[in-house]
Amino acid sequence: MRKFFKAFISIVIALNVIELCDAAPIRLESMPQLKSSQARLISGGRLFAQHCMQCHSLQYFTHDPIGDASGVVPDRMPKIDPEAWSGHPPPDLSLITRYRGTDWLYTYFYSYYQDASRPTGSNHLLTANTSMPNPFEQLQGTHQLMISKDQLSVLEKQPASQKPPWYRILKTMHAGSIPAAEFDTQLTELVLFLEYVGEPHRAAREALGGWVIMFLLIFFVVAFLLYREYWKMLD
Amino acid sequence: MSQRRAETSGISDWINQRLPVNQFFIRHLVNYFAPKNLNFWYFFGVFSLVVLANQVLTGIALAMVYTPTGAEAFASVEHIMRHVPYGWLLRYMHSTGASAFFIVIYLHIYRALMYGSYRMPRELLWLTGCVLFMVLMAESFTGYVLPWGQMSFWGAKVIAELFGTIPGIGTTLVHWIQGDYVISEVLLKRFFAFHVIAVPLILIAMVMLHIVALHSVGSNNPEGIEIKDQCDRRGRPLDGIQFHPYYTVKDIMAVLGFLIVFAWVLFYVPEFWGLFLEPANFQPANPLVTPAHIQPVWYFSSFFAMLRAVPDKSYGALVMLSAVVILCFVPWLDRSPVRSIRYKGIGSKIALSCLVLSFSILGFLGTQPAVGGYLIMARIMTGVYFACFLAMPIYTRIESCRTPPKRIQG
Repeated sequence: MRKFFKAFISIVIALNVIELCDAAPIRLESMPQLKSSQARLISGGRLFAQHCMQCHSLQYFTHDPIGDASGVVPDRMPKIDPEAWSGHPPPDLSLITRYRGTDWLYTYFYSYYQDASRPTGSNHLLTANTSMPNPFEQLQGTHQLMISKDQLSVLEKQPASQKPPWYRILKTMHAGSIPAAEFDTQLTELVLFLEYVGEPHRAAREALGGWVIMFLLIFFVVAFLLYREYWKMLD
Repeated sequence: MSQRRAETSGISDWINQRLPVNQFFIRHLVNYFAPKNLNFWYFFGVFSLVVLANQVLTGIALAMVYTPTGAEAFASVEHIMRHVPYGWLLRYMHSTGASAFFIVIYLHIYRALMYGSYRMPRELLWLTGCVLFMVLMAESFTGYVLPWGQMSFWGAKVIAELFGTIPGIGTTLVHWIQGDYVISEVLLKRFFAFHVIAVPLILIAMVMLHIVALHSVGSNNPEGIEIKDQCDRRGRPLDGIQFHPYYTVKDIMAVLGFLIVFAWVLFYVPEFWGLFLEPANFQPANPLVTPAHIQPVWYFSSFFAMLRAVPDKSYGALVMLSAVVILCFVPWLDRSPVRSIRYKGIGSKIALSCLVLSFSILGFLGTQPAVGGYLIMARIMTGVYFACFLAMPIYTRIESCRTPPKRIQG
């Protein structure tokens, strides 16, 4: 039964991964398992306030202690005109992790590469021809594509399990202003912050779940004993 | 003390003389005899009642805040999730409940097919169940559209277009249903009205009919034999036990077990890895951007795969409809001398396994693009699904069955 259950879960997860990175030439990287803490969320929030909030809003995220401490507050968010940017305004990111998943978002920032043919000077492996420049270019440095565009489109058609990770087809051109490991931590904190924005009550949900299940378990034992007592009468 | 007891009995007498509450409970719980061998599979009926109660109660609370307008529907759901105290809990209870409803109902149907619970004299019990299943599908579909996410919108569009495949009146019918030339807020408001008033009224009325029918013919059992055929001198079935207290205590225990699993999903994996709450529905509806894959939520996936397996849309819709309607004919398709799978022959056992297998494989195929091998597989499985029903009069008649005992053993 347990084996069946494990197999079932892995199939479900696999299906979703295939679903989300279908057309991309790379496979998604798993986000590092950093334990989320208030300090990390605030640090991720600050990065968001500095680098993302010029263009992107978090419209469903209103005042809360973590948002206030990191400067991500409704008054400072941009008012997005849906007609601006030729009808393609920067999307609201309140639910980006729920829509795309944390691994997608984490991999997203490792997917920029230099491309002189684009007006922004860069292109992207997950969202080809994106009009969004890399917001972390200064911190992260720049990458170069090591394969041709034709090879890239071949990779896009391959099954998800055979796609390479980003670092197999991109190489660093210029190092960023902070060490790669430090950038990786900061990026993870940003993704953790956006995951928090996606569902601020998640911690409360998981904490309450334990108590509810414990209550039901105790009640179940009582109900089982009651059942046994009654059914003894039938013997 | 004695005075107080006298008063209480006075009140209950007063009520019972005017409304037979006691008589009702005695008749339907204490003097209702159920077979003594009802097993695990018989819990799913009571589970569906629990889920229905959950859906009604949480639904009432959600409807107090939810706003059925194109501009605010999506935001009002997020408002429930973020700013309404315990709104997230109510919403997850409702969304998990929707999927739980189908899990429970599919297993309930499987139980009935396995033990022949549709056979004479339970045909109407089975038919009310079939209608309930269709009403539940309508209820969940109208509900799925309400969050007004991308998949809500495009799912509604695909289903509305199905009506357009009806020759002659199709397009007019679609416009009449939509109340507009395109999917719009008009449809959203209609679906809200259907989801919270019209369909639940029918659903609850049908549940009552289903229970009345059950209490008139009594439960079948895993042996598939009639307990009313063997009664004592007072007319009580020898193999029956009082529903209350025996099955009430057993059901309370089972419901708690069910609630533990339900709570685990609800609190720890409410999205259920993208099956119960799909990632694409966390994006607001956008009529200008078609999602790469439009797929229905998991419980419609098998029927969706059948729809796509047929090259012609009109016939596809007909096949999909038939896949549900064919269930209504099962009592007359089954020609076996016995009810339960325990005593049926190898043909019935293979057919039931094939039915479960084809339905599950179709469920998987409905989540995949309908191309190449997947499409061929979907066509084969649609054939297998229908063959299990259509060949029923043949295999149930020619297979050799074992003779069931007269009494329930043990």
